[in-house]
Amino acid sequence: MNFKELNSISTDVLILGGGGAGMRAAIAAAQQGVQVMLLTKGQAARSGATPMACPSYQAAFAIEDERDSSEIAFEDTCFEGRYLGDENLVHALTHESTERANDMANYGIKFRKKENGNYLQVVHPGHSFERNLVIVGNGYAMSAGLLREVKKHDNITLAEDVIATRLLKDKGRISGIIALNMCEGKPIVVQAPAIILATGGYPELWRWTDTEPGLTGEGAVLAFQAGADLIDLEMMLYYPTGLCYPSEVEGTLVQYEGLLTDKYCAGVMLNGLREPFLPHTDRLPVRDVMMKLMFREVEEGRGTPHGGVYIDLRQSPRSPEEIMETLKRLDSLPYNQLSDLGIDILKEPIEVQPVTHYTLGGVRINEWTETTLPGLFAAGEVSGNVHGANRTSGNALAETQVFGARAGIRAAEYSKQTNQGKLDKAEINEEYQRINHFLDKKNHPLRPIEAKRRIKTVMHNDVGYQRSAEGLKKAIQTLQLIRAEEIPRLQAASNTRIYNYEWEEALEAAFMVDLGEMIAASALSREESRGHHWRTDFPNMRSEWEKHTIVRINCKHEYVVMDAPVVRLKDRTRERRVADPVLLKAGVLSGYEK
Amino acid sequence: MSHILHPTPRNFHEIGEPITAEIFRFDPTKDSQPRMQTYVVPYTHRMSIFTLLREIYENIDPTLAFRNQQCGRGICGTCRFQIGVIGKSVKSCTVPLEPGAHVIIMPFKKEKVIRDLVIEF
Ligand SMILES: Cc1cc2nc3c(=O)[nH]c(=O)nc-3n(C[C@H](O)[C@H](O)[C@H](O)COP(=O)(O)OP(=O)(O)OC[C@H]3O[C@@H](n4cnc5c(N)ncnc54)[C@H](O)[C@@H]3O)c2cc1C
Ligand code: FES
Repeated sequence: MNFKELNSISTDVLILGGGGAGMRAAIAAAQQGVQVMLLTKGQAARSGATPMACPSYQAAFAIEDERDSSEIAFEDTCFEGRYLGDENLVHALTHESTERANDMANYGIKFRKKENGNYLQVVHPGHSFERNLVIVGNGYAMSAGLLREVKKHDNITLAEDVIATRLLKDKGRISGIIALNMCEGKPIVVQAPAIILATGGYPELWRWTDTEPGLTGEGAVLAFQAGADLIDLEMMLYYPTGLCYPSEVEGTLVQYEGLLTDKYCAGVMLNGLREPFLPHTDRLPVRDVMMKLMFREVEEGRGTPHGGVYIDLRQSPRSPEEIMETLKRLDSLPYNQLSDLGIDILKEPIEVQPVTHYTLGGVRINEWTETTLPGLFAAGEVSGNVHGANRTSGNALAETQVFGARAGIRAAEYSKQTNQGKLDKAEINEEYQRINHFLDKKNHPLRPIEAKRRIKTVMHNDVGYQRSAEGLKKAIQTLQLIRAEEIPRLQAASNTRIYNYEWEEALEAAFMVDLGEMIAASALSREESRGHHWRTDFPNMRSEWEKHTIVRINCKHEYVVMDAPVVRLKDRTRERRVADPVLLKAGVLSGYEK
Repeated sequence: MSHILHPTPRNFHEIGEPITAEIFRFDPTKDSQPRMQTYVVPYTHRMSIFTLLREIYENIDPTLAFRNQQCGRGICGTCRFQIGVIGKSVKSCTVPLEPGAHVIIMPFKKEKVIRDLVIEF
């Protein structure tokens, strides 16, 4: 069905977001025979993190090493998540990712195979055994494959270039959304009893990021405003190695796992003085540890000219031909793009630094992706309690498929039992006005990008990889000031309604400021360091903080920060792994001894 | 990608001759027909054709429309434009620009233009 030909828009299941989770949810819901609409800010399969993802998909097929199992993957994921992931969710993830990989194969998405025809599986930090599948053609091929499958279903309507700006409710349950249709330049209403949030994460709130600029976190704020719980917002994962130079590829992710592992490219990581600094362990450190070790070099004055560290492939014992061969097989970096741009990674070291990459926190869900608001579901990176305080490689793409499928099924079931809710005209008018006012002339207009710059600077300076109470309080104040004084002045330079990107940025900036404040408040409440949350004033991981932070709206429309226990399937006072003693000695894991 | 190239407004030195870019502009609600607009862009950092567009949008002309949501890794083709009048199509995030370069940027498919360089795929 063509979205543009629809007069009044209503559907059974409405999915927000056209990445891996949204598309998988659409397929699952459509298979239940209900009407589905897949509505997305960018283009389906061309927006969000999924199309830019590397090729890693974690699934314990145990082909490469038969000692592996879903149970070991479960333990790995709980441990590397610093025991903050809800174990019912981790269980679903690690026990269903293989079946969902088989679905992908059925959709025509290819995984790299070995000569004997078996899937190639590679080991990344935090995997006890070789576990990641390698998607041929990376996240883009995965997205394209899912979109092909989506288009096979007549009962899925695609609505692209449409930004959801508000969730609507009727008597405590979901009834629809308001959105801005970018190409037509007008706000619209879509009515639906069941909505799946699949809007991805919010790494774009920070200065240095490897993700897509549209990942500004509306999903979490929409859920919050409608009354659903948010969880562990302070947990923002830093991927250790994004290029920090040259500027045309600033932020581009290169996979340190493939580039540095002895078994693969065997490159070395050096500081600005060209000295190795990673501790000698059998295995490369996982992301939270890596980012701390790298930032420490830079902070203590041993960074590179552009503020990072080096990856040097020239010092690998492998020949350039062997390295190229491995790079082609594992797709550890976009070598075609880099070589087109004149960057020869075999001849010169590359400068890398940790960048915001994956949003660990987000919307609180149960194992069926239900949020705390009836009719609202969430799947993929937008959800917040799956991985915990850190995430291992390959688990995010797997998450999109496992929870996308679960959300599609459950939301379809729910929609069959639920009538359309009522829409509130006054609420709709008010939101239309809010959307439109960004085109109105202001006395002291401000470009949306200026507000974004300010927000990103606050997040970078005071809610960054290291935080303290002092900085976080300052951040909250500054963000409140931006909300009060700058957001009302936002105005797009052109008043054209057709694909006006500044209009989109104005809407995004307004969400970013609200979200930024809730992130800072969550970070302030967690008085410990765990995984990617690193407090200079509370440097130790503390057992009493092995619990979630929760953000909830109160009757005065303010946010309150609370806490909630982690869902356990095992008794973690007894069954718990200890950290690698070598890493403990490196001094970045205080409090991990117990 | 860290698309907002400079978190605080730029105050950078030029490191080479400026780039001249002629870019296709068309707003169906305002223009009766397409036009070309010329921009002279200071060369303050290395650029690909895609980051040139970002530079223009951020610091010279906020009304220029192109798609910002894309992979930035040379894979997805969302940044595909016709470069030059003869119409060679390229993924713009993979094409470097030398200082002093002159570049003509046209939409990938003119018949599918929504506004400026944004097309319906
Ligand atoms: C460079 C990079 C490499 C990665 N590599 C890997 C890897 O190899 N393995 C792995 O497991 N993980 C990887 N990840 C993480 C993984 O790609 C993501 O976590 C995952 O793809 C998220 O999928 P998603 O469907 O939840 O969201 P996304 O793919 O981010 O999609 C979000 C969608 O929501 C839309 N949207 C956003 N806001 C709105 C709104 N207001 N209204 C309507 N629509 C909206 C967007 O346009 C987009 O279509 C990588 C991430 C990055 C950035
Ligand atoms: S942005 Fe995807 S190819 Fe250039």
